[in-house]
Amino acid sequence: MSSESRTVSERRLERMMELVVLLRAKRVPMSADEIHKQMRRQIRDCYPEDLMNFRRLFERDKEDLRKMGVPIKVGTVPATDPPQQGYIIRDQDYYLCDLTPQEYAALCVARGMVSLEGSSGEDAILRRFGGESGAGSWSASLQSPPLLLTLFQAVAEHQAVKFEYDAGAGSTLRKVVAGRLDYVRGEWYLTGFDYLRDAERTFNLRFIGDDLKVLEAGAGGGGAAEASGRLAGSAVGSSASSVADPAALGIRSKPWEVPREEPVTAKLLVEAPLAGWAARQLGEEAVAERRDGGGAVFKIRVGDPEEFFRFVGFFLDDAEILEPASLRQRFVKRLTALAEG
Amino acid sequence: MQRLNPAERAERLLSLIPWVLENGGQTIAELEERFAYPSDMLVADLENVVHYLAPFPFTPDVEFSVFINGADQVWISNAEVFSRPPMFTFAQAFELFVAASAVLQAQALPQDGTMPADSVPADPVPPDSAPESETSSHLARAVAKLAPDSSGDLTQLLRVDVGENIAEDLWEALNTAVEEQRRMQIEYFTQGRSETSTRKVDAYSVFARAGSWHFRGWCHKAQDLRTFRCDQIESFHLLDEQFEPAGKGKGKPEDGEPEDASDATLTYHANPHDPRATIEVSPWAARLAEEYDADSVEQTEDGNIRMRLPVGRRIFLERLLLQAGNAVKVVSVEGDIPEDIAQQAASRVLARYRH
Repeated sequence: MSSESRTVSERRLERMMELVVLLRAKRVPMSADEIHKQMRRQIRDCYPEDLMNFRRLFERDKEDLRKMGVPIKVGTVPATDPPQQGYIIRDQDYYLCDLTPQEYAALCVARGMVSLEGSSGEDAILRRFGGESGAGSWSASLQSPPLLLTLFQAVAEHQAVKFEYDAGAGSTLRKVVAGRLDYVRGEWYLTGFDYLRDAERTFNLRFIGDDLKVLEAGAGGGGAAEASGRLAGSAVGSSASSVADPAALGIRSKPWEVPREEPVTAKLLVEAPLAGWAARQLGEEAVAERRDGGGAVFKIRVGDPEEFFRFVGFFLDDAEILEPASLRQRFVKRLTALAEG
Repeated sequence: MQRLNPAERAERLLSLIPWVLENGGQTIAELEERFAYPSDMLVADLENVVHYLAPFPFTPDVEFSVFINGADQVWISNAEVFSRPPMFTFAQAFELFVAASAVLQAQALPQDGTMPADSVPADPVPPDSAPESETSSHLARAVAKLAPDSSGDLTQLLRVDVGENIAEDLWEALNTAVEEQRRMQIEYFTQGRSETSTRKVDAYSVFARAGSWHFRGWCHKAQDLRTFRCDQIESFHLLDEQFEPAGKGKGKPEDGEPEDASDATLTYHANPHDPRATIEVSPWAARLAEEYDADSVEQTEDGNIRMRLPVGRRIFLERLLLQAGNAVKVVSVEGDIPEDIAQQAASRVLARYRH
């Protein structure tokens, strides 16, 4: 079939497909000029003869192919002086890794069960598996904050990131070697080595400023160089296994258990309508006493009184902090301030 | 089916060609369904484009060859350059890592590690080899293969708990209810009324959202579809009563389609007649207000978030105000909501402490 008899969109489709074939055929990077020549030899008039117009279309094709996962890499064309930039698709970068049928099936089922809110690539993922889809016995939808992918890339490549963090106590600058990501209780957390504080810290992604910057290890510049230097000696370093278990850092603790102050054991009375719900939140082991009428007294370890007051606030007048007196007084003070407007 | 631009068709062809090479004889209709590729476009692209592609360097005898027979079955040959689909983008791989991590973490697969029978192809491992009995290990191995070389053990870098722990007996009962379509009776605590009620429910689907487990189903008490939070179930038992699957019989959604859990909103459903309150919340406290189906949300000049909320039951707003403390203030109220609702609620609680 002659190229003239194809529609415009068919000609572009053919050009993109043949470009993939060409860039995969060569073992070394090809210059744009060589690509122009070879493509026109392969498909007459697929690109315009004029180099400026060719460049414009070539850039657009490259961009679209990269977006769909085709790894067009840039490299130096051999035997060029001065060195000339060229393009190549290496087999080892291009091919989806070799998965067994069981591995495919397990991924399809997992993909069918769990999704990120607002994700757009769902169909493209399953199409890689021949459009297979799986369904499990449950499903889950996870929130997907804008910085999530950037931070995961930083975690996977052990990069340092710089950001402003404000969880309600004022904005502070953080420089953190990204160690791991956790999704707990509907929130995403970054754990890493905060080398401005010389300690591991955990950050709720909700409170990380959107001006976050990735500090390239080894790159020039004061902050980046500093990051680079600290990366090697950090607690995270290049070994994932050195990241502390987040349970120890409080992510999986109840919010009021995280020790912001000297922990105390509180006694909280919850009246009947809400005592059952409270027991499910706190665990039956927290029940210290059952009262006539269905109420219950709970013993609760409190390291963060503000978070505890938020929890107690849910019960309105169906709960009362019994002990310790100091915690009770602080709650009364908080209520008094609210009552007085 | 939506029309596709050339880039969208190229993306599909890069996965479709390997699939047809491996599974020759698929029909156009099957390929249309698998790859979301409108059949007329697919046939045109196979005949007018793919058939004329050629490996480099070009020689006429090695052109790709597409053959479509009278039964619309498709075969492709000489296309070994596309013998496997391309690797995922980083964003796509990340979505798979998250899904795999969530499934592995939830340990939702049956205890014996098997997958549903129709989900997993026959194990190709020869009988004398070590049997692959753990599906979770298939998933873990797939993740390890997909992970970037630089990342090391990805399971150490990403951990996803989709929902808070759920009692094992409730988890088993819910799964039985969904799979065997068995009616349940539950004692359910309703936060908005602070009361517990007995309900018969037909559970259609179990899902995690916002960090908690829920199920969606037909509530015989409300005579409507409802979403239930698992941690508000006081007690439960499976009844020896079958129910019709969603979309058939009594328990069908109004539009007649099976209910999709992903569409189930967890927020309070606003009634147009509900009174409204406008509040201003500090950014860090905004999550406390996310359960509300706000009419409007805007950011103020000083970075706070201003929301106009329906207030179906006053207790919801009172809870929000007492939980957030000075991180939230009432800007204006409509209907019968008192302007000093925060002060009134705080005074009522304070009275407990002054007895």
